[in-house]
This record gives sequence, structure tokens and C-alpha cells, in this order.
Amino acid sequence: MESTSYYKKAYFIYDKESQELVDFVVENKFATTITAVFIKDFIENVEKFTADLNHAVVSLSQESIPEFLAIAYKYDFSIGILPLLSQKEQIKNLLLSSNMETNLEIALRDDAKRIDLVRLDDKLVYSQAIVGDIPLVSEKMRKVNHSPLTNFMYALKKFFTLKLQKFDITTKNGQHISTAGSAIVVLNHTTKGFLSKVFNLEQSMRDGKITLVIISPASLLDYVQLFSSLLFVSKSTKTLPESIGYLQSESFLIKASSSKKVRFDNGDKAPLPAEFIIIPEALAINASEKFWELNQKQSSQKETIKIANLPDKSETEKYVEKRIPFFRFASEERFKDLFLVLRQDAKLNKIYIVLMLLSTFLAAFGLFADSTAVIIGAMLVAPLMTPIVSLAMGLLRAEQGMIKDSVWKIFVGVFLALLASSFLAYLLPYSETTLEMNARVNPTLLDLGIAILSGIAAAYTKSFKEISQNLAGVAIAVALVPPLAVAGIGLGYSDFNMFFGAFLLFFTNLVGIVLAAVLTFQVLGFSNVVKSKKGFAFVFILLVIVSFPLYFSYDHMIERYKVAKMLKEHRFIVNNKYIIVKDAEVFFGRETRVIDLKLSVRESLNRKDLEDLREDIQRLFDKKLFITTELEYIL
Amino acid sequence: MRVFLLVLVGLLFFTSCDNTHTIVKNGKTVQIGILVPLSGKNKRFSKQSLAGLNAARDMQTYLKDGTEIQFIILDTKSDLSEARKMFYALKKQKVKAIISLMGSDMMLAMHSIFQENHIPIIVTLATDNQIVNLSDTISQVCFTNKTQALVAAHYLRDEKLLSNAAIIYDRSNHYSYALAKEFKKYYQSIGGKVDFYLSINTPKELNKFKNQKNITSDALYITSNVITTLDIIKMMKKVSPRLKYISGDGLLSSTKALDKVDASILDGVYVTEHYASNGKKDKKIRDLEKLLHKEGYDESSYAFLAYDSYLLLQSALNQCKNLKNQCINNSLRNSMIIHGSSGNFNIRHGEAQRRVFVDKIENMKLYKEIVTY
Repeated sequence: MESTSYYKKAYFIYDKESQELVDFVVENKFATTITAVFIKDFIENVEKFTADLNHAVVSLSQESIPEFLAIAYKYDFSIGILPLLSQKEQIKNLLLSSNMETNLEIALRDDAKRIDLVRLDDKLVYSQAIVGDIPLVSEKMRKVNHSPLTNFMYALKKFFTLKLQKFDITTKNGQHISTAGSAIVVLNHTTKGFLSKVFNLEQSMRDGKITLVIISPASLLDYVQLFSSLLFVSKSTKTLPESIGYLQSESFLIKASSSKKVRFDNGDKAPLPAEFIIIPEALAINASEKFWELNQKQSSQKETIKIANLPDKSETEKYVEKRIPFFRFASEERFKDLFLVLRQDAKLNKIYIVLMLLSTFLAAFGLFADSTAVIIGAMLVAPLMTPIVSLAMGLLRAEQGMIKDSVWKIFVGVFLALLASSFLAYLLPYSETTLEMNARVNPTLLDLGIAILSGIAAAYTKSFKEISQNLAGVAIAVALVPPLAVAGIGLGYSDFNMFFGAFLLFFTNLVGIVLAAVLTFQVLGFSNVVKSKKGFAFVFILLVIVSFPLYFSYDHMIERYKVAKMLKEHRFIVNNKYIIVKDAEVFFGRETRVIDLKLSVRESLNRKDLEDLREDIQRLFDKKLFITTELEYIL
Repeated sequence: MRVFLLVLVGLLFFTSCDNTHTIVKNGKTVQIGILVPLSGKNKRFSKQSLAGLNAARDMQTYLKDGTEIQFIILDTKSDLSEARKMFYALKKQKVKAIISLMGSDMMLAMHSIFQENHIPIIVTLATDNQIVNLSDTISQVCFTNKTQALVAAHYLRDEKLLSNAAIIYDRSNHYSYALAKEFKKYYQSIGGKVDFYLSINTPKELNKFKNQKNITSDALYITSNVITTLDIIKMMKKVSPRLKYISGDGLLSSTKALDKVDASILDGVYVTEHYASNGKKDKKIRDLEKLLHKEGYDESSYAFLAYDSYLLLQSALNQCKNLKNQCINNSLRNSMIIHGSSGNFNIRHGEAQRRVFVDKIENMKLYKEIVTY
């Protein structure tokens, strides 16, 4: 078994905080003779101390470490870092233990191994350097001597004004990469820092390479998504996040279009353009076994370039110096595919006419037969949704041709539906309104809510091929043709109240879907702004106009519900006869309210009892009532 | 000029929006007598009622013409001769009306005095059916035993579908006896079977009942005094867990007046009541509750009925500018519709036309099951 050997002589470099460790280190049990020197004295007399310095144990603050590394590199002595237990970041970096005795043992071992260092001019990058902004994430974004709230507001402002800038990067092998991003992080190693929480990058401090990570979010939402893992305790993934690309090379020359400086993790700054160069095997350090397992020596000359997620040269010009949108732009490919489909959908064709007629007849028969199943079948056959979604895209992109085509297609569909259903109503020997018809003549604000949600679902489903099978569900939710069929039946019956009620429902659906679909397409990145502002404003005004009757209808619905509920809780005692209200329905006339009651009694009610009952019920209301009753007797 | 016009229009707008009537005090007073058993056996609910009356007066002290309503409060000491004495004392002071916070037995015993002296009497708490018929100077604000018994009988039989009931009452208590009798009559008239009809008013009778252990009825209608009622329900809940309990008005309010009580005993008990704790309450009722809380009282049927009595009185006084007894009495006995503590009510031929709630007690609150008009 190989025995562990320890340095015979070593210096212990300490600062004010670690002064308490002097006795502990000097009186070590590894037979190492320690000369303890205060850091200030050491730096002032560095030449003197380094003359016979072979190994130093250092216990310094995180900020002082890079400076000491530079000295160790310059004077070529090995170091063992002995952090205080409160310096958790250093313990984590070197994968040390929380036991001081163990850490001292590691620091005094005579088996230091060499690691690479990253150099920018005369400065060393200990863990990372940043070009650009990483708001809400990077601690260096904070303003010194400001309250946490001020810092947060500053970071928030930076977040909302985040822009992509152009980065030109040249590698050691002469590969030139031109891309756009919000920031570049130059890494010596990744065990520390926020990026290690976002994704697991395989990198060694002994591979002779610098790693350069480019952060390029396509939207603020992507940015939030990227760093949301920082808020939660989660394992970093090996999959490269969508907004990130990375390069590995022996050196990088970085040019940025707007950033003027690069920031080091100890607060130092250096001007751009900057060339980062790896210094292989620059410094000998003592570390734990686990640390060396993760940082094994590698000698490949191959450069790594993973930039598939980043904007290419042509896209870079488009995005640079512009604020990042809140939502991501749809890709050219996705946009083209959808646009072609929607343009085709906007055009009137024979299939549309046939399906429109079929669905209307189906819906009308279903309505006459009071069959929900048949009506749902008609909803599935109905082709009206497609031109409505096309109209939404037309309005968003100000495509006059698409708008005209889809409006014409909708108009023809509506006309055919009304014509077909009114003709059927005229022909059939029925003249009664079924429950399914009645359900479609009193639209309320709830229907507008359904229409808006359906519009969102329709636009969303259309935007993604992989979920297009869900369109059937959307069609059922929206139910465009049945209200049209009811409106047509109303025309056939010459019942204009029925026609207006049902047509209002259809129109509510139409307007709600168009508006919601426009906004959904915008959110999904098919256009940054609504380009046809006039068209959009027109639809919006229609929505406001439609909302008034819907509001009153909704208000009536709520009042109907309340009155019915109140009556159902009531019992009446009329001439010592106890009357139970089993059910109550309320209808609104122009000046009266019609109340239809189902009563339960033990004894028969005579005309006087009924008159007294009417008076008692009337006293509960301000408006004049017309009351009808249905009696059932308790035996 | 423009600013002036704007201010003028603004002022006009605001004054036109103000629909509250400003009452100008005229310096006059109207004396109202209050007969209340502040001591003796019936004192339990009197303080709650008096708090309700005082709160109502604090909320609306003046009549429309600016006359101040003043109370002369006299303690009847739960004693008939004392009550008579106090009545005459009030008469001497020329009160325009009397609000009685006495129970049914006292009201029935004094009806002839009321009839002879022509002073309008507002009966707040006494629920006996006969009170209104025995004197044409009496107006009853609460519902009658007949009404609440009818509602309770139908609720059990027609809504809970319970066909067997037992009845426990106290023969020494007029309210208890009269209410139980009415319930028995109505319950049987609609096909309900009364398994037993038992008076319990002595410890011996109570012990005898406790030894009986189990009863097979679906429901127990109980009108005994609050302490006996709580004792019986507590015992029966252990031996007959499926039994339903129903009682008359004031059970919860009387329980609240007790010093120490296990509130969970009453959980699940149904009562016929004048109000329910749940549901929307308008601002006036919320203000009334605030005033009651300020005085250390919770919501209670006694306080709410006293508030309603005051509103009825105020309405009648407002209708009679001359404040003559005859006018006040007529306005009381056939009143306008008044928005009271639990909805609209009015008096027709001296009898209250008001809602009867069937409530379920949970955590010392009344939760509405049904409301009868």
C-alpha cells in the first residue's frame, strides 16, 4: 500500500478572518514545518518569501484568491487551499470536506497536480468572466451600496430592456463565429456559478481548453424559463438548453457590438475586444480525490462548437440591437407552413360549400329531433372555423387578400346556413321550439368567454401540427353552425326573437374567436404587432357592441338563478295550509316577470288560497308578477 | 365664471344624489314605556331584548318631524303584581305606547288591564296565539305558537319525511305547554304519529326519562326550558344517535344567556326561528349587530325582535302626527310593510305577518334550511 507523504516545509498565508487557524495549521500532525505569514506582509515582501517557497497553504477570502493564484503562477509554487468552514463556495469549488482536519491533510499532501488557467492579458480568470448582461441572475449586475430593492428594480429594468448584441468570436484554430446573444460567459471550470445549475457541461480544468457559453434567449419568456431552474432545487440536465450555445478552444478572441468591457468574477474589468488564452498546466494545487476524478487530464486538440441553438449570421442582423420580445418569434419554417395552410383555408371551394350545407342540415335535424348527439356530429362536420382562423391571421399580418377571402368565405357560409335551415323549417311540419333550440337563443357573457377560449385553442391547435387532432374538440366547444341553424329556423318560423337571439350567439362566437385567435397568433410569435390595426379595431368595437346585450342577458340569467333559488327556499302558509315550492323558473317580460312554480301541498287550494298565495309571493318582489303554478299533492 | 358654474353644477349634482332626509329636531319628546323583567325568573332574555331596543333607538332616535323618542324602562321583576304596578306607573307618565318584553303567561294575565286602559301595547316576545284576540290594543311582533308549530310539523313530516315524533314539554311553562300542544295537533293532522307526549319539569321526571334509555321515534320535538332541553339532547345524542331534534324560537338565544354551556350539544338541532345567521345582511342590520357587540351581546332573536318592535312603533308614530292613542293603535295593528331584522314584515289585525325560518344550529349559529312566509 502506497503511503501518503506530506511537505516537510510550507508557508501558511492567512488574512484577518483566518488568523484563528494559525495555531491549528502550525501544530499539524503531518510533521510539516509551517511558517505563518499574514497576506499583506506576504504581498509586500513577495520576492523575499518566494525565494525558498515550494508550497503554501492559503486561507483567504474568495475575492483574494485570484490575486494569490497569479502570484503562485508567477513564482511557480504549489498551493493547498484551506477554506474556513464559513467559506462554503470555496469548499464546493474544490470539493473539499466540512472537516477542517481532512482539508488540512489534503492541503499538506505532497501530491499537487497542475491545472489550467485562463489568461486575459495580465489577468487570470479564476472561475468565470462575463461579457454583456445576465439580469436577475448574475450577482455582478448589482449596484454596490444600494438597497436590495433598488438592486432588484435595476435588474428588473435591465431584464425588460434586454437586447441581443452581435458577437464575433475567433477560435485558436481560426474558426470564426458570428452570432447574437445577450451575454457570453468565459469559463475556466463549471463546478461553480449559475450555469452549472442550468446545464451540466462536461469540462475539465486539465483539458487545455477554455469554455465559452453564449446566452441567446429568443424571448424574455425563454430567458425566464432558462434560469427558472435557479429558483428551484433541481438537477442540471445534460441536454443543452434552447437559448444556449457553447464553444471550447485553447483561445478565443471576442468582439462585441455594444459591450465595451468584460467583467471578472472578482469585480475587475478589462476592455473589449479581448483575447482569452488558456495556460495549460499553469498551477499546481492540492485538491480532493473527487476533484481530480472530475478534472482528469485530457489532451485532445479538437475544438467543440455547439451553436445550433444560436441565431446564424443572417438571423443575427435581424435581432441585433433590438429588445428581446416577451414572446418568441415563430420560426420562418413554422410561419411559412401555417401561412400557406391558412391562405388555402381562406379560399372558397366546393368542399366548403358541401360541408357547410351538410353540417347545417345535420344541425337543423338534430335541433328538430332535440338530439344532442346529432348536433355534436354537425359541429364536427362544420368547416366554418377555418376561414375564421384565417381571418385572424389576415388581420394580424394585414394580408388584405387573406382578409377579403376569409370574410367572403364566412359570409357565404353564414348565408348558406341561414338559407338551408330556414328552408328546412319552412318545409317541415313542426313549429315548436325544442330544448336544444331554446338553449341557443339567450347568449350571455359566458358564451363570449367560451368563444374567446375556443379562439385561443383554435389558433394554438392550428399553429402546431402535432396537436391538430384536437381541432375536433375545439369545434365542439365553439359550436358555430348550430346557432346559425337555430337563427335560420327562427327565420323559417318568422320568429325574429329566435333569429336575433341565435344570431347574436353566432356573432359572439365569431367576434370572440377572431379576437382571441389574433392575440394567440401574436403571442405565438407570428407577428410582433397587430399590423391591420383598423381591422383589429373594427372587430374590437364589434366585441364591445356585442358585449352589451350579452351583459344584460347574463345579468338576467344571474337574476333568474337568484330568484329561482330564493323561491325554492321559500314555503308559504296560506290560510293554515303549508305550501312547499318544489321548483321555480323565472322568465322576464318587458314589464312583468313570469314565475312558473311547481308546488307541493297536502290540502287542495281554493281560489282564495291561490289569491293569498299570489299576494304573498308578490310581496317578495318589486316588479309586477305573472304567476303560473303546477300543483302536486302529498298523500 | 366657468369655475363657478362647474361648482354650482357639482353642488346640484351632489345634493340631488343625497336621498337621506335630514331631520330637524323640534325639541319635543314622546314617552314610550318599556315593561321588562330585568330581575326574577324571566330575566334571562330581557337584557338581550333591551339591548336590541336601545340599539334601535340609538340608530333612529327621532321621528320624521324631529320629535325625540324617549324610553321609560320599568322592571316587572318577573312578577304579575309588580307588572301591574309598573303598567299603571307608565300610564301616569302618559306614555304614548308600551313595548312589552314580557312572556306569554304575563301577557295573558294582564290582557284585561290593557283593554281597559287603551294604551297601545307592542308585544315583542310573547308568542301565544290568544294574546292578540284578547285585547284590541295589542300588536304582536313575533310569530305565534300556532304558526311555528305548523311549520315545524310540516317540515318534519313533508320535508324530512319523518313519520314518528316524540314530544317533551314543561307543563309549568305556558309557552312550552302551548307550543307543544299546537305541534301535536298539526303533526297528527298531517299523518304524523306522536309516540309520546311527555311533560318533564321536575328532577324526578327527568331521571325517570333518562332511565328509559332509548326511544324509537324519528324526531323529538322539545319545548322545555333551556337547561332541561340541553340536558335531554345531550343524553339522547348518546343513546339515539339517529334521532332528529327540533325546538321552538329562542333556544339558541337563551343558551347564549347561560354562563357556561357546551356549545356542541346544540349542533344539528333544528329550530323554528325569526332569523338566520347566514345570508346577506343589509347595512342597518350590520350596524345593529355592531351596536349589540359594543354592549357585549351577540345576535339573538330577542334583540332582533326588540329592534323590529321599535321600527313598528316608529312607523306608527310617524303616521300619527297628533300622537293620539287611537291612531297609534290602528297604525300598529294594521301596519305598513316594515323592513325588519330578517326581511319585510307587517302587522295585520294585530298579528305579525312575518317569516318563519327553520334553521339548523351549528357552532352556536343559525343556518337557514327553509323560510316560510
